[in-house]
Amino acid sequence: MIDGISAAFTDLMTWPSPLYLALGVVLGLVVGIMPGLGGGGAMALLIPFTFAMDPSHGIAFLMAVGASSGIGGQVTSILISVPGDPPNAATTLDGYAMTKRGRAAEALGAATFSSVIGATIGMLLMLAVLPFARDLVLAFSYPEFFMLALTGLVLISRLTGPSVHKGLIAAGVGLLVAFIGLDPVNGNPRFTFGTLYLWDGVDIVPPLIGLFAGAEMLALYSLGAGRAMATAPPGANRSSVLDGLRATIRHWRVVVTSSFIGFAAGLVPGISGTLASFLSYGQAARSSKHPERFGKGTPEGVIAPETANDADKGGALLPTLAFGIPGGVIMAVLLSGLLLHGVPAGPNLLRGDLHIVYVLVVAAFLPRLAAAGIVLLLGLKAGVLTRVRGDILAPVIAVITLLSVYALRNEPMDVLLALAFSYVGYGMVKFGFSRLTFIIALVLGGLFEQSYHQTMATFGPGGFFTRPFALTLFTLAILTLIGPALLRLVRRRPATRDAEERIHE
Amino acid sequence: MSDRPASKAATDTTRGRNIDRVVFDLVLVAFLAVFVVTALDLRTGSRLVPLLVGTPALAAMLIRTVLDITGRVADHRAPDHVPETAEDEGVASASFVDLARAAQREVAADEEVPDEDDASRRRLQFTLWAFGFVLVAMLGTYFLPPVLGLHTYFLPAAAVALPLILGLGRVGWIRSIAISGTVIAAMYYLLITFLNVRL
Repeated sequence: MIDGISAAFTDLMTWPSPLYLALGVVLGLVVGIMPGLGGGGAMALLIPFTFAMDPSHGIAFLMAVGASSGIGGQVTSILISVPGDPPNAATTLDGYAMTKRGRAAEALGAATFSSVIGATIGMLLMLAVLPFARDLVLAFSYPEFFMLALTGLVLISRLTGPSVHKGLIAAGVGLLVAFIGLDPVNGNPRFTFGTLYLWDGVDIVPPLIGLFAGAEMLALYSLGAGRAMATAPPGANRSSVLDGLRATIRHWRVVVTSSFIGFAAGLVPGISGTLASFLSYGQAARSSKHPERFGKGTPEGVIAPETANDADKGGALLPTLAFGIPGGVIMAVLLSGLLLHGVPAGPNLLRGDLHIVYVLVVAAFLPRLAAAGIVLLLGLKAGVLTRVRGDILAPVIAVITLLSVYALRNEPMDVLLALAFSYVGYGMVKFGFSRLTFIIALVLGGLFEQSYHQTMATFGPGGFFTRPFALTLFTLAILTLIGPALLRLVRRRPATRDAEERIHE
Repeated sequence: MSDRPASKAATDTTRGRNIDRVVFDLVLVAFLAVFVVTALDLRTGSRLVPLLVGTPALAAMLIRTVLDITGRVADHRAPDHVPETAEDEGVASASFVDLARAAQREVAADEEVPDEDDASRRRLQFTLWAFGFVLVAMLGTYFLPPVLGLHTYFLPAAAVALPLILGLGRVGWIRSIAISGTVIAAMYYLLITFLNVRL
């Protein structure tokens, strides 16, 4: 493992990789701090630019953007109480309260140091668990992969979006879009509607860019110039970033506990980072000697969520690399990047050379360190980026987005497709259909259909229900679907019985 | 009395939103129906999985559409963002389930979109601009001879479209042209010189 990490480090320190990493850090920070485009959208937008790079450098560049955008999101959470991404939301509770009390620099220091430490622990945990995951994944056959894809989709449908009903519909639509192209059984064109363009299927990048970058730009433009003009309250600089470092060291137990919580939550698809930050915030409050200080500006309330939401990347990377099942937008983009560079995810990756895994580990750590350094150097001045007008930013990014979609394959139809998906994405957001479920269904469509046919051909229909892992996964999917309703029923019954007894009395 | 126009406006917005929702539902129904009907004409092996996925999805979407048309379902948009202080909702002392729900709410709340009249006008403006830009670029690419040594009309169309929308957004024409020029030059260098894209 040490050899692998040092080889990855050497690879990423070979020119021009440091330049790409530095660029990724700056871009990630900028998109993290500026309103609108999140880390996942920015990564999707930048995939075409990685074609000129070595696969390992391109993947590291994407990882640098994703990692730094999380650090950028902390800045807005702490300074103006606007979370850059949902995982930063728990940070606003105490981060902004610290800013109001003139301790913004300390909060920024605590957030950046704890996120670097959290990310490092998360990645180390991932490396520690990876050999076990490798044994597990090598024991998997077609039925397990089918059930894994099915359970992943059901879990994401349940956890993201306001309605599981709409989540499952989004998954169905995503799978159908994935079935466009040559079918895996007969090799005949399917759902191509007479166009040659669709024979190769729908490439993942135009929908990804449309759904997550295009739709955000439409929403940002519709907000006009009024958004993102917030400023930090006066007197926000009466502390030092080094106070934040001291607080992080002082609360090392919170850092360690939150890292473990973050890693475990990272394995849950859909809301992993957000779940991690809220759970660790709650845990830190419960285990604190002064729980009453939470919400009023205590550094522990910043350290816990920021450690957890960066440690979760290690957990989220595990199913992405080991099974080829991404749990979130950033992991879906990363998986797309890997596939576009010809790097297989899942068993084929784990059976072969693990260099790319070590590259991802180093790329999760180094850019975060650099981003933390930049944020600490800029301090409160970093917040100035939040004042960029949405009505300027949206058209500029829209043009860059559409041109980069064209750059992917020199295909004008890809641009039209991305544009169409921008509006589909906007509609999905507006009417409560989960975009994440749709895109993950699109990613998993091939695996879903192929493993179904391979199971039927190899094991017959019994293969889905007679193998222990497949059956466990199927049970999990069913419980995810009907579990909450059953729980509600069980809880309601005694109350109803009590009420009936009272009426009889 | 003075609340009446406000409440009428709110009712109009809700009605407009419900119409939009039903239209979106119908688009999804049509999309799913096209896939299911097309799948029926395929060979058995090719159509099996699409039908296994498409038929229940279509049925679920039809139910959703009927519920939306009859107004049986409340607006499922996410509740408010997490409050400024933890005290308001007791996040600090919440149970595991409550914290998980708070996380779920926050993910859903991130998916909020503005809904006012001005926002609708701006959305329409952006939509017309974006489709206009792409259509001009594509029509130029397919039907006009190349200009300035470029292979497509994407950069020329962007050079016209970008200052136009920035100017319409009251950015100021000189500033709009300066921003557009910088973006176009950067994209030219990145895509054509650095990545050898046939732009």
